[in-house]
Amino acid sequence: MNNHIIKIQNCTVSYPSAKNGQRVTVLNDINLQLQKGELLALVGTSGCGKSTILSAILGSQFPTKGAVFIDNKEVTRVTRDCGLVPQNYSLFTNNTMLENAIAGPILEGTSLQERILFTPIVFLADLFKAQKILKLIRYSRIRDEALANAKEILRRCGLDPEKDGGKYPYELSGGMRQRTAIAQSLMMRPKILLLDEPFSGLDEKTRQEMLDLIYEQWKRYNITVVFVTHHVHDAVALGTRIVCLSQHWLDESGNPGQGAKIVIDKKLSGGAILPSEFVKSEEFTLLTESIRSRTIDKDNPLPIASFELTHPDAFKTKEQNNAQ
Amino acid sequence: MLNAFRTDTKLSSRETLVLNVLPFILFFAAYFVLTYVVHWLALPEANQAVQWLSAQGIDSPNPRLLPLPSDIWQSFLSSLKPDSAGHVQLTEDVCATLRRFTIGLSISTLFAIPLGLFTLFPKWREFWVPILGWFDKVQALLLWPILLLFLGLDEAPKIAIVIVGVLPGIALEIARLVELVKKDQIYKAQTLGATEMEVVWHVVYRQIFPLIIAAIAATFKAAWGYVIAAEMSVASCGIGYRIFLAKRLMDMPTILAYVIVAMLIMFAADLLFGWWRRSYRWANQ
Ligand SMILES: Nc1ncnc2c1ncn2[C@@H]1O[C@H](COP(=O)(O)OP(=O)(O)OP(=O)(O)O)[C@@H](O)[C@H]1O
Ligand SMILES: [Mg+2]
Repeated sequence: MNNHIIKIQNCTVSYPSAKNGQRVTVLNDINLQLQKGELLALVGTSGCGKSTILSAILGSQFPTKGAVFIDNKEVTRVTRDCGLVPQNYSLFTNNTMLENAIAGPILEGTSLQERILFTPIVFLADLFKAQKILKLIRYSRIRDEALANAKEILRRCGLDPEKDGGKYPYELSGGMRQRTAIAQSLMMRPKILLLDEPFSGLDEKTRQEMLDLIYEQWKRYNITVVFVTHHVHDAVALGTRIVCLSQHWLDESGNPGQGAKIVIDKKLSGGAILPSEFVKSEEFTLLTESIRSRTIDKDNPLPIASFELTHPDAFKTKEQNNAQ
Repeated sequence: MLNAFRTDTKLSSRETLVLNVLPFILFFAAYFVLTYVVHWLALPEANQAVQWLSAQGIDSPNPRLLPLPSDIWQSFLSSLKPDSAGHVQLTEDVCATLRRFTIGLSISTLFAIPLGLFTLFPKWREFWVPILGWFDKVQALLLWPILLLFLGLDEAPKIAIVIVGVLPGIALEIARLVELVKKDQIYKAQTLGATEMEVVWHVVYRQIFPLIIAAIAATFKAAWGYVIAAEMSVASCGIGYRIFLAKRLMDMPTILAYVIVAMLIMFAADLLFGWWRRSYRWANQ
């Protein structure tokens, strides 16, 4: 037995190609183990299979070969273990911010029949201020509890539920939708939080706030987080570990390989602010440069890298860094 | 007028109103002028004009084919008068047609919604979508004799023809809408603890509901047409029956009065469903 919360074992994913019946390998024999409480940054070029890894962990995409384990149990379907913030934040368009936030507890805590039966009753009782009736209905109690909880979490995610709680997704800005989506999954206290490009389409300031937000929630709930990003800086700043996925790599005999492999896998401090000493160090330059060359320079495949970080500042947390 | 073919034309609200109303005025004005001219030609004092026209090879038209607006109004009013038994002809006809239309459409919707929604499940989709696609191509009116043979001459075949005619279309449209729901949302709902049926209800049905309303509204015209066509064939009351009867008597004012009433009913139904759909303001984006 081991205490790995996520274990991806010899995971290969391939799709039948549209052109010539052959299969196209997207992920090639990926091995990855995550300890509980890690904050993993997944970087790589567009289309290299980052979202595919997330869906393998989620259980919505089965590996062609190999398997994924969560808490030593093989993943065979989408379960409550993971929380998901998809690439194109898919809030429920017919629900307001608050309704989106309480979607989890309501789906979890009440049955479909109960909801269909009691939603109109609760609505009417709300309308006519018949609070006494509301207390009698279990559905309404669960809803009230969830609402109180959701307001707290939405506030913690930098939103104003009093002011914006009644707005529909189309009335929210991109950043607000992203925060709502994160709050929505945090409501369920998942073991693992999967974030697919949570920073895409956000301006510089909002992105920094989102980095802080994810860091704070990770600290508070002690969950395991896997997030995908295009920005090397975000990955190095936030992740306690950074994994670089690339389709451009050389095998032992120096031939270009098929599908994406993990070409860099490094442990870091993580914490949304990088120690300045570390940023100035040669090691940091080496790390970011090698990630950049993997993610940007396609014509120059490199052998799978294996170097360890040794700079002491690389492992300082945000708090230690702030204390200085 | 000169710049009618320009994409960058800016219209004031008054110009918009004028443009919207003008075709109606022109249409009715043309009808008025035409009918009055035709009716004048039927009078004895127009004898000379008629002769002159026939010298040009033009027969003067039958005034019964172009009733005066006042005649249409009169026949509308007379169809609203209760007969000796206290029955109001227009109300009874409209109610009969509307009842067949509403019952047929409701039954279709009631079955089409679950059928369409369950195509979320691949086995349901592969089982139902092809056969519905074929049934959708069958012209329901061609099945009318069969429906009569099986269901008799009463109300049942008139309701059945609506069901046969619109149910596959609504179900297929819902199946298409189901396909458009983002997979990520379904997975997200499952991570939030949703069961399969809760995904159908919470993620799919609730989100596409306004579009289902639109899909139903889109079949109004067809369903209305099936009922009226069926009534023209076998019925003892209804808009289609009355128009068919009036045609035999060459009672043009009644035909036109009923055409206008039937048009207004469809117009109101469209308006109603349009409001209903738009009342879900989150869906308009
Ligand atoms: N259903 C599918 N059928 C065929 N190929 C697919 C399918 N889904 C994904 N792919 C392919 O798998 C590869 C990886 O896709 P994936 O979405 O994981 O990339 P990504 O790294 O998340 O990219 P991005 O950064 O743009 O989101 C792509 O080349 C894509 O074409
Ligand atoms: Mg992706």
